[in-house]
Amino acid sequence: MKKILYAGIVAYAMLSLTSCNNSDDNYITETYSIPTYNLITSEDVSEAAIVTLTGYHYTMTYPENSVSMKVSDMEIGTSTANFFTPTVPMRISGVKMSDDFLAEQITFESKDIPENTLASDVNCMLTQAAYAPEEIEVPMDVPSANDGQPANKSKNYERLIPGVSQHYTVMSYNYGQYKVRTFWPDMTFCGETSSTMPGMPASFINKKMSYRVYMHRHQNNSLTGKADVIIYSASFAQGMPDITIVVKGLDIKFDNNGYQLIGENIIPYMVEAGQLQEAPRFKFNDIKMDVTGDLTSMHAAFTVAGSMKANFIGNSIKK
Amino acid sequence: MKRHFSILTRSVVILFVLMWSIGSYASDTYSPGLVEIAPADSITVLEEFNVIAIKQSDELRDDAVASTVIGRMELEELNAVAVKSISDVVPNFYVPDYGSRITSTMYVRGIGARMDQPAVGLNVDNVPYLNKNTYDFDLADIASVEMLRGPQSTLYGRNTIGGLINITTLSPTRFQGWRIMAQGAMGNDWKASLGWYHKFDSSKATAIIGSFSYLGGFFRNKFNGKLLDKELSGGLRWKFDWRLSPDIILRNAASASLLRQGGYPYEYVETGEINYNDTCFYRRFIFNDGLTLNWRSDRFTLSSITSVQYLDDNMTLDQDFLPLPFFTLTQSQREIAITEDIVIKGKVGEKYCWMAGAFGFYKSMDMSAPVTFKDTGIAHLIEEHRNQANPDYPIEWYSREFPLNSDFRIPTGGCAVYHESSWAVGDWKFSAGLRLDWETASLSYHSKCDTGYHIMRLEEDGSLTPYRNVDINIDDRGDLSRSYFNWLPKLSILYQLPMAGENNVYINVSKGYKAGGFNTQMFSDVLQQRLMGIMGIGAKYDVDDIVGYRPEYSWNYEIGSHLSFPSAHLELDLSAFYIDCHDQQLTMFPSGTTTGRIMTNAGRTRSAGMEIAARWNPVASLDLECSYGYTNAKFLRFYNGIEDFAGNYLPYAPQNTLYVRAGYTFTFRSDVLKSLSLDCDMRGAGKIYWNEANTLSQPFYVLPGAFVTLNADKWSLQIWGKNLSDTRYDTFYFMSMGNEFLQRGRPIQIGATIRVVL
Repeated sequence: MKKILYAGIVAYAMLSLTSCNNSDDNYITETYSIPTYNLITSEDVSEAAIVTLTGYHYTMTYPENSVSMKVSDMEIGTSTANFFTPTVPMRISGVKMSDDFLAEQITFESKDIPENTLASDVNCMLTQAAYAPEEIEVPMDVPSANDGQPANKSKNYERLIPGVSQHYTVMSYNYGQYKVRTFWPDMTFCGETSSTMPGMPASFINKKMSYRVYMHRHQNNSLTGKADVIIYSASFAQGMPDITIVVKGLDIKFDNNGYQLIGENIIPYMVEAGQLQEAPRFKFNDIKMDVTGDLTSMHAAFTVAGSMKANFIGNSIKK
Repeated sequence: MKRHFSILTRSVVILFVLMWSIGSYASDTYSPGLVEIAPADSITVLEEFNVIAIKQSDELRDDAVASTVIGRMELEELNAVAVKSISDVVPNFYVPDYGSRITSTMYVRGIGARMDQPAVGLNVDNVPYLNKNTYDFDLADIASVEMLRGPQSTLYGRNTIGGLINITTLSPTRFQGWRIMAQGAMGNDWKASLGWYHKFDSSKATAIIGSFSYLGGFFRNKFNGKLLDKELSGGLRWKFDWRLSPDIILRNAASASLLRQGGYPYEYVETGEINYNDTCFYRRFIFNDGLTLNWRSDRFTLSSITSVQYLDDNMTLDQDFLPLPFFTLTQSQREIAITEDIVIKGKVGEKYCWMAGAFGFYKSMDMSAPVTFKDTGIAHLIEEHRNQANPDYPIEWYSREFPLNSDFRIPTGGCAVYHESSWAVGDWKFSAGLRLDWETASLSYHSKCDTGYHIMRLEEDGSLTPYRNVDINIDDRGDLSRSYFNWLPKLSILYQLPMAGENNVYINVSKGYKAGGFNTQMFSDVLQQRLMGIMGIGAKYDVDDIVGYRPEYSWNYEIGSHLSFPSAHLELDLSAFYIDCHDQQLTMFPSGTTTGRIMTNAGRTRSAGMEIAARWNPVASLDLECSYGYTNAKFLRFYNGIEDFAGNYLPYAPQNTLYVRAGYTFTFRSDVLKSLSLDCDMRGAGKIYWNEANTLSQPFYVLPGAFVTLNADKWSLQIWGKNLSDTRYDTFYFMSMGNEFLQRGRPIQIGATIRVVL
């Protein structure tokens, strides 16, 4: 009875897959285009961080397992980046996500880009090993109060994935004074949450809870600067049943460290019977989520109901 | 229920009148007195045949198998009318008496099952009982009970991973006349049976036996002051033997039984009380018919055993066993099963002996198992959880009672072919056998629930105003199916010791198999979690993962010996075994506030132990008997996702079983009294762990008993006592909704049994 939940797929305009089989040399060459968002930060800290959406093109050759990456017409600072990495070896490995699924992981590095002296230190991982959100339909819209009548059905948070192959890009490289790191606006972070409240003899550790960061986008796919966080299997004390909580309207702040989600005095919603149900008792007095490093690691801290404090450390990619 | 009883009552009356009328015109038939009826407790009767004698030697002690045979005399001394009566008497065989007659839990050498598939096979008059719910019944005029320990899967197939019990009732070819039994005992325990055995001529004989039992009960429900474990049952059996020709014998054995029982005297540990408010009962109707055809030629014997079984039962429980209206469960099932076993066996006594066979079965069960949530259950298990999560918008259920309905259809079928060969080389006998077994099982389920609740809003002044309604409509259907193919070999070597009497040593390696299946009792939890999931709280269960379980396999390595010392009047049986069990099926209660039980494949276990059984007559009138079994059964690997139980003892299987008996018979030269027997015995079992964590256990306990038997030519009177020390012991423990429950064993019981033969 298990079913794979694909709430929605982004058909990015640049997504394509071509394959060419060179029968003379008995090689197979495949080209992938994978869209990804880029956080571009400058060594000059006065310069604001920028977020762009770009497609990276990968030309992979088998069986020698080599790859070359192409960047074209990417706005970085005041310039437009166009470069190829040299053809370098790639490592292909598998990450066991479940009994049914072995995720593919492709990694490669390119220190120097001879044809473009501004670009250097490309470290790239294309991975299917992103944690998926739980298979729960989470409605997006808040129903209006209706004096006891059933509410109308809302559309759900559809899962945004970077193409049919579900390879997420975890990449960083330098371009002159700029550092480029990739990220995706719909990622689920898994790890460990510890919560404490007055009267509890020890922290309550929960490894089942996961946090899905859903960044809102304009129609042209640029980010609005707001994000919702869906907390699955939320339970902050022994004996508390698991619930799904939606915290809406967090501000996203990008900087040289990565990005932060911040909010104060937010009343969350529970998912109940296919609707969002306000849960005032779980008011998030403050919430701060820091995603740093290669933008797959998160540290979060929040206070709920004035007294319950929680900390989370986790990742969005299983490595 | 009334319909079944009225039919049965009328049938008994008509048959009684008929039998009396016929009996009074009966020709001169052989009806010896009680003392002379029974030969030595052995089943080597040439005219009779049963499924074990078809597939094994006439004398089980000549085979490489650990076996116990209890004849009619000893069964009468033990007042044994059910399989559980011989528990403890047979080493490493344990059948605790708890719950109700739907619960037939049997453990052999640490291998057992409390739910679904049995671990021990049961044949009664060649009818294989496929459903464990039918294992616990009373049977009058049992001629013998044979218990084979260790896997018997090669010859007997599914669900004989622990062993096989074969019950043979008295044949009209061996006895003609009337047999009457009446018994009364403490606990308002009454039994009676009346059997008419008649031989029409040298080729045809028939028997009709009716039985009745009533139990007032031992345990009282504090809630209403009534005795809980009351029981009323009746049965009718008809046997017909027909020698069609010198070489062809046809035998038919049909039986029907009806039962209405209270049951489930579970004591809440916290209060020490049996106290619950909702009705618990179990009612059951069983019909069985087994037709055996046996054809003996000069070179081989061909046997066909055909059986039909029908079961109609209803178990209704106060599932929380507390004096509060949490929930109730009803499990109502109807099952029909057909089996066919064809065996062809070469001539016995040759240096090379062989046997081959084919077996097929089909059974289909329809089950309905609604769980009804009641006021306290709704408040405590649903509303409280939900309101804890969102107290500003509390909920109120539409009604204070609603059902979660689950209906199932479970067809199961299978077929097998098997062969065994043995070679006698001097004093050695080498045997090898193989069974190829295929089985398929399906489950169609339909779960339905229509209910809902109001979401209220808590206003600042503390009042509640309606906010939103939530309708919950669950209508889930699905199908699951599984198929299994198994190869089940066995090898044995037996050496006849150069001594007078039956003396041998043997080694035996065999593979055992217990079928996989579907645990329908977990559906109520699946549905409950689904309901909670709709509400946005709780974890979701995957149906296939929770409900389905895989087969269990074992490899049994055994060394043993059957010894007899005629001059010393001593018989001794010894065995030592090691069982390596894969995917052992264990019953677990999931954590949290659910009440269902899941069958899980526990990883790997091993069981090692030994058995001793001895019978000694140092002087003619003194009879000493002892049987002891030791089992050390542990998990080799079992992690249930929360705890690791590797190295712990298997729960519910006793580490020791003990039976000791001494009897002295005074013989009289009198026309009135033939003998007076004085016997005392002691049964013991334990230590029994109650959980996988081994934190709770029942220590070893002993139950002393005694019986005094007066034997005359045509009657006997026995005064008996069981658990004379009134030992307090527990037979079962479980946890439900975080609450602990125990069932106590039966207290002291003294009674009298009179038997008359005419």
